[in-house]
Amino acid sequence: MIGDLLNVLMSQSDFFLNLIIEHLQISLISVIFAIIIGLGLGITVSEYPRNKWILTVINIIYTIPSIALFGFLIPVAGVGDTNAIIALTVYGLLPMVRNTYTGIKTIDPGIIEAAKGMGSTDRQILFKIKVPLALPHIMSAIRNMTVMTIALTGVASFIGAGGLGVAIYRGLTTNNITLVIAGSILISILALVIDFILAGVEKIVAVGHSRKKLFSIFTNKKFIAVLLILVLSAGAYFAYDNNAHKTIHIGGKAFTEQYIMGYMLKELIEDQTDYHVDFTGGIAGGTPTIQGGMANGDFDLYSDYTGVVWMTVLSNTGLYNESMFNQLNNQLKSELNETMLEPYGFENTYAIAVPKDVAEKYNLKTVSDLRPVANQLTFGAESDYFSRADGFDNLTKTYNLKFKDTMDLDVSLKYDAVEQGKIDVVEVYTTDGRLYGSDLVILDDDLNFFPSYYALPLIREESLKKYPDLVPVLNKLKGQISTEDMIKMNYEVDVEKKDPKDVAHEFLVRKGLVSSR
Amino acid sequence: MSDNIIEFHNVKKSYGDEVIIPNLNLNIERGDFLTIIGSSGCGKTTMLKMINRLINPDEGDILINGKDIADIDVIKLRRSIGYSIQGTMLFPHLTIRENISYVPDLIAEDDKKAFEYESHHDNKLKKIKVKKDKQLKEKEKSIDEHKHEEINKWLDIVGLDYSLLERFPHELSGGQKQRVGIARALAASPKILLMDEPFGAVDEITRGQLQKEIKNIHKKTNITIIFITHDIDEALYLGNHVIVMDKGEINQYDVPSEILYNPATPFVEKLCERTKDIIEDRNNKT
Repeated sequence: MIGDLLNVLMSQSDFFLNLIIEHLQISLISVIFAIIIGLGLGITVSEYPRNKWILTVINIIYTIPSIALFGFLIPVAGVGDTNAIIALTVYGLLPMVRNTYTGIKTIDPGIIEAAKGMGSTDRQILFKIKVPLALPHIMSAIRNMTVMTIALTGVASFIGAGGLGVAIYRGLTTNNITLVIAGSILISILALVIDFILAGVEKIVAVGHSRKKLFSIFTNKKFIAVLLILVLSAGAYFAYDNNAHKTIHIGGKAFTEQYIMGYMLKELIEDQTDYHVDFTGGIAGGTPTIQGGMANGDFDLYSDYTGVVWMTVLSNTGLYNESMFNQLNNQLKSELNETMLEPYGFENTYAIAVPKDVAEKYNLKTVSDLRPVANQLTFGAESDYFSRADGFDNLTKTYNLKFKDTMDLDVSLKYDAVEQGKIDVVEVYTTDGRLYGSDLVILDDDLNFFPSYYALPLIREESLKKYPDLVPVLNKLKGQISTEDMIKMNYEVDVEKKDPKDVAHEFLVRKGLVSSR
Repeated sequence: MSDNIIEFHNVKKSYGDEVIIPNLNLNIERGDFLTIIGSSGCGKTTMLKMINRLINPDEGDILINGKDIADIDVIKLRRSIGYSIQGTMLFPHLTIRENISYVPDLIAEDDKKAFEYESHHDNKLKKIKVKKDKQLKEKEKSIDEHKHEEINKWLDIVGLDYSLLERFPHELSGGQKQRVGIARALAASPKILLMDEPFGAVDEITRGQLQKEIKNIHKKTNITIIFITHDIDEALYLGNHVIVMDKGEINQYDVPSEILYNPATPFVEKLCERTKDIIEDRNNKT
C-alpha cells in the first residue's frame, strides 16, 4: 500500500506538484478575500448594532453543505476556479466576522472610554485601539479559516476547479484508490504545514514586543515597495502567461473514458496548433454542468455522445438513431449555438451481455433470442437503469422478456456478480474496460432498442469562429477510435492503473497522429 | 472679579425617570485643585464627564473660558482636556512612549493631514512639489523633536525612569502604571485635568506618593485639576477647594478647613467625623 503510494507520488510528481500549486492558489486567494471581506463585515457588525443581521445571514449560509453551495453557484459563476473561490470565500466569512466581532466586543469598555475621552475620533478609536486589540482573536480566526479552506478546496474539484481534489476525484471515478489516498494525504500535509506557520504568526501578533517588530517591517517603505513590485510582477507574469497563447478550454465528465478523451484532445491540439489547452476533467453533474460552462464560455468544447445530446442536452423525447444526425446537429446549432464535429468512431451505449457459457448453452446471439429462456435467467443492472426511459421496463416490453428475477447492483460490483454466477444477463456499457478479457458476450440489439451513443467533439459556434483551424485538427480523430480501442484504453486505466494522459498519448502515437515524445 | 475656567449653569441630567443631577450651578476657578467627594451614585462622575462631553446635559449650559462647550468641536475640546480614570486604562498594545504621546500623536496626525491638504491646495497651480516635500519633512522633524522633549519632560515630572519607555503596560507595577496614566493625561499640556478616582486601585503607600506627586504637578504647572474621590482624607489633603456632593446636589463647596470644622449639612458632618476624631486625638496627645 505504502509502496504503491510512493510509487504514484514519484512517478507523477509533476502532476501532483501542479495540483499542490493550484490548491494553494485557490485556497490562498479565497483566504485573502475572506480576510478582507470578513474584517470589513465584522467591523461593520460590531460598530453598528443594527447590522447584526449580517451575522445571522452568514451563519445560515455557513450551514449549507459545501457541495450544495458549489452547485448553487454554477449558474452564477460557472464551473471552475471562480466558482470555487467564491464558495470558499463565503465559507471563510463566518469565522472571520464572528471573531472580529467578538474581539472588538470583549475589549474593556474603560479602555475605549479613555480613548474617547482623550479626543480620538471614532475612526481613530477603531484603527488605533479596537482593531489592534482584537487582532489576537482575528488571527486565530484566520488560522482556523485557512486550514478549513485548504481542506475544503479538496471538494472544489467536483465543480471543475483545480487542486488536489482533482487527484481524489479522479481516483474515485476511475476506481484508483491509491490516487485518492495520495490526494488526501497531500491535502492534510498542506493544511498542517500552513497551520504550523500560522501558529507562529499567531504568537508574534500577541500584544507585546514581537508584534511591534513585525509591524515595523510592514511600515518600512522599502519593504512595502519591494512587496508591491513582487505582487505586480507576479500579476503581470500571470496576465502574460494567460494571454501569450490563446487558451482552449476543454471540459470532461467524471469517468475514465472522458479523462482519456480530454487528454487526447489536449495533446492533439497542442501538438498541431499554437494554442494552449486547459483541460478540466472530472466535472460532477456531467453533461448539464458542462453545458452550463459551454453556455457562459467557460468551456470551448468537450466530448459527448449523440444519444445524450438528443435526450439530455436538447430534451427530446423518443429514441434517437444515427439517421437523425443532421436534424440533431441543426437543432443544436439553432438552440444552443453548438456544433457536433465528426464522431470518433466508438459507441458508448448500453448493451445486454451474457457469459459465454450461458450464450452457448441457450444458443444466444441476439437479445430476441433471450425471449424463450428469460424465465430461467436473472437480470442485473445498476439501480438507475431500472428507472430510465431507455431502461429495463421498455427493454422488457420491446423484446417481450420476462426474467426469473432482477438484481440492483452497484456498477463496480456488476462484473463480480456475473463471475460468481449470481446474475446471468447483465446490462453493460459498450466501452467498459472490464469487458476486455472478460468472457461476456454482447447480444445484438436486433430490434434497435438502444439509442445510439456515438462519441464526438461538441464545440461552441463562437469558439469555432474564433479558432477555425481547430476543425481539421479535431477531425483527424474521425473514425479513428473503435469501440475495442476504447475498451482497451479504459482497461489500461481502470484495471492496470495507468495514467489516462499516458494512455491517450500512446494511442495517438500508435495511430501516428502525434510524434512520440 | 473672580476668574472662572469652568461654569455650570442650571445643569440637569437624568437617565429615564431617575434624576441624577436636578439643578447644578457651579463655578470653578482657574488654577484650582478641586476635589469632589460623595458616595457612589451621587452624580460626581456624571458631572465630570459632562465637562469633556462624554455625557451631555439634558438642560443648562457648561462654559469653559466663557464659551459654551456645546459650540466647541468635541474632538478639539477633549484633546484640550486631560483625562485620567480609575485603573489607568493604559492601551495594552502600545508601549509606554506611545501611550504617553497618544494625544500629541493624534493632534500631530491631524495637523499633518491639514498641512498636506493646505499645501496641496497652495501648490496646485505653482507646481513646486519639491519645496512642499521639504516643508513637510521639516515640519515632521520639528514635530518629532518637540514630541521627544515633551515626553521626557513629563517622565521627569511624574517621576518615571526613561528606561521604561519601550516597555508595555503589563510589564509595569501598579504605581508605575498610574504615573504613566497621569503623564498620558498631561502630555498635550492641557489647561484642565479631569481625574476620576485615579488612585482607587493602588495600595496605601503608593497612593501616598502619588498624591504628593500630583500636588507637586499642580504647583508646577498651574493646571486646573478636578479630582473625584470617595476618600475624604484624599479630598481634604489634595484639594484647594472641596465639593461634597449628595444625590446630585452640592452640600458644601469650600476650602478643606471649612468643610472639616464648619460642615454645612449633617451629611458633610458625618462624612468628616472620623477624620476630625483622628486629628483631635493627635492634638490631645501633643
